[in-house]
Amino acid sequence: MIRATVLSEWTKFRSQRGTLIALGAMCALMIGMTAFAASEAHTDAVLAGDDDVVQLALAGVVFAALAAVVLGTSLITSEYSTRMIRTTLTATQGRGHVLAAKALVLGLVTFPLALAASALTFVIAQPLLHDGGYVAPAYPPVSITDPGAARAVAGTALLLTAYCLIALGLGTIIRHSGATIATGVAIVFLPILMLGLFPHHVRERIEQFSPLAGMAVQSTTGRMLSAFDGSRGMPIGPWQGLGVAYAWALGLLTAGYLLLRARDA
Amino acid sequence: MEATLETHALTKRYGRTIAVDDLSIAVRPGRVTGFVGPNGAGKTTTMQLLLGLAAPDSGAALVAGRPYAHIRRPLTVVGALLDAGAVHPARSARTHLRWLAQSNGIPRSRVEEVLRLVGLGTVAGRRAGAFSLGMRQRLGVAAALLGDPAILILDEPTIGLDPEGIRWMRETLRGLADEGRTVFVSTHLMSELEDAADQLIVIGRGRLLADVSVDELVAGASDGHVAIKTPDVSGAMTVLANAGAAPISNGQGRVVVEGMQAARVSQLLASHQIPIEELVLAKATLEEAYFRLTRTAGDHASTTIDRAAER
Repeated sequence: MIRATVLSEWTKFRSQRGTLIALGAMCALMIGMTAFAASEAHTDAVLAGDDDVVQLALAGVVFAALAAVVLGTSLITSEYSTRMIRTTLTATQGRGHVLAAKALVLGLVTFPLALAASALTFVIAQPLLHDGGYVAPAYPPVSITDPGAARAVAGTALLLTAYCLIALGLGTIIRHSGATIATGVAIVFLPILMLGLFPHHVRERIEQFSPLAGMAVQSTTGRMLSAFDGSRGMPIGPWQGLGVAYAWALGLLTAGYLLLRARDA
Repeated sequence: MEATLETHALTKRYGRTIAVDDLSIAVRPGRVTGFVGPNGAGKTTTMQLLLGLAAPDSGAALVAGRPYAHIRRPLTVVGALLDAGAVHPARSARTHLRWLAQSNGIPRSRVEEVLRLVGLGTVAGRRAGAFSLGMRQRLGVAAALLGDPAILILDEPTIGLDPEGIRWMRETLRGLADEGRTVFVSTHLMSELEDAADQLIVIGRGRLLADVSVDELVAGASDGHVAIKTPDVSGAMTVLANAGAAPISNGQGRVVVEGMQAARVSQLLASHQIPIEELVLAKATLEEAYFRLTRTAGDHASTTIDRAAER
């Protein structure tokens, strides 16, 4: 049965314009904003610098994450705005199947496309960074085979997928697109804006426990450049950070499932 | 598996309002069962409870003998039309039916079949958002028929349809019941079920008011409703009035009598040498019969007024 539900959710996904636009926007923002950031970045370092060149080559993730939130949201809230949710639920035995199928389709479509966009971004950014002064000996040319580079590229795609799933969970809870996007953006981005308001130790907690922690997966130097603290060690490991983002996704999807099961449709 | 719909002491509250109140009904195969009552009587809620979209506060709603949630591949057992507008506007009619078919393992060829069946074959590729209400209702019927189910639940399927569309819907419902299916259809406009329904389940404020066959209901309401044509209208009026009836003249040589058997009318007039050119037993329309029924059984209108007066 779950196979049939996945197939039907895939058909819905393909035939939903808003969802496809958000998917395209996610890839375009990833590539475009990274290229923009990379062409603006410059350094005068002659000796080994503090900048994480791999992270710089994936900087567009912050903007792509916005589109990822819209994408995950639209998949479920469009069911409510068109009142199609009742048809969907009467056609499926088990409300959990509907949400599981949506999450699966969302993940299986988002991850490969985000991976392609991240990989492309990584390649495009190299000559741009070179022009910005990121040259040997301070910054020897990087390759995907360098330690951590492949992890950063794949991790970025996994992180965008996590943001999609966070939004899907939120949308199932909230059932309204505007409110879901606002909340999703707040959960993903508010920590970034709020960092400056708090003392160092609170800041570090936010970086460890908010979905923002997932950004650590892009780090290859083990250090981060903070606007508030200068260069310092990463507050959380790369995989652990990604794990935190997925814990958010899992938690919100579980809460969404419980509400979907309990509420009248 | 018997293709029935049943509720047993079904009750559903929304806050302090009681939407469905201790309702026990049974809907059987092979006929069109009209589910009627004024707006807000609890028809839609009852259907949602049957379809597992809402959970009852107490009692049970059973489809083919079990709760909806226990049905595997539900579209092959029950087809429902709840809200014809509930279609993603950017999706074509064909794609809409395709995802529904896939969700229940229904072959793709069946999609084309039901599209032709409801007369949407030529517009199947068009965005559903551009469909008229009548076309959406047809798409809704196509979706309900997709799994070739033995049971159909339709909520106000004639709403917003033009006369041609209403006739199409009536004939479709009739045909489905004649194939042996269980057809449960709600409406608040009785006239739209004329000649289509076999059985009526009437509810008001969530409670069962009547569960009667249409034939019985109409026959009962038509009883003692006689129209005569006579050249001596005033004479006939006097004789009938003296006999305790309340005759009404339509001013064109016709007199209508209620509450008196046809035999008694003709006997009275004959004994007073008043000629009868024509005597017709007027058959009440389904709508008239329904109004008569609700007036005696539930008196929904007056209780509503009472409630308004209490405030």
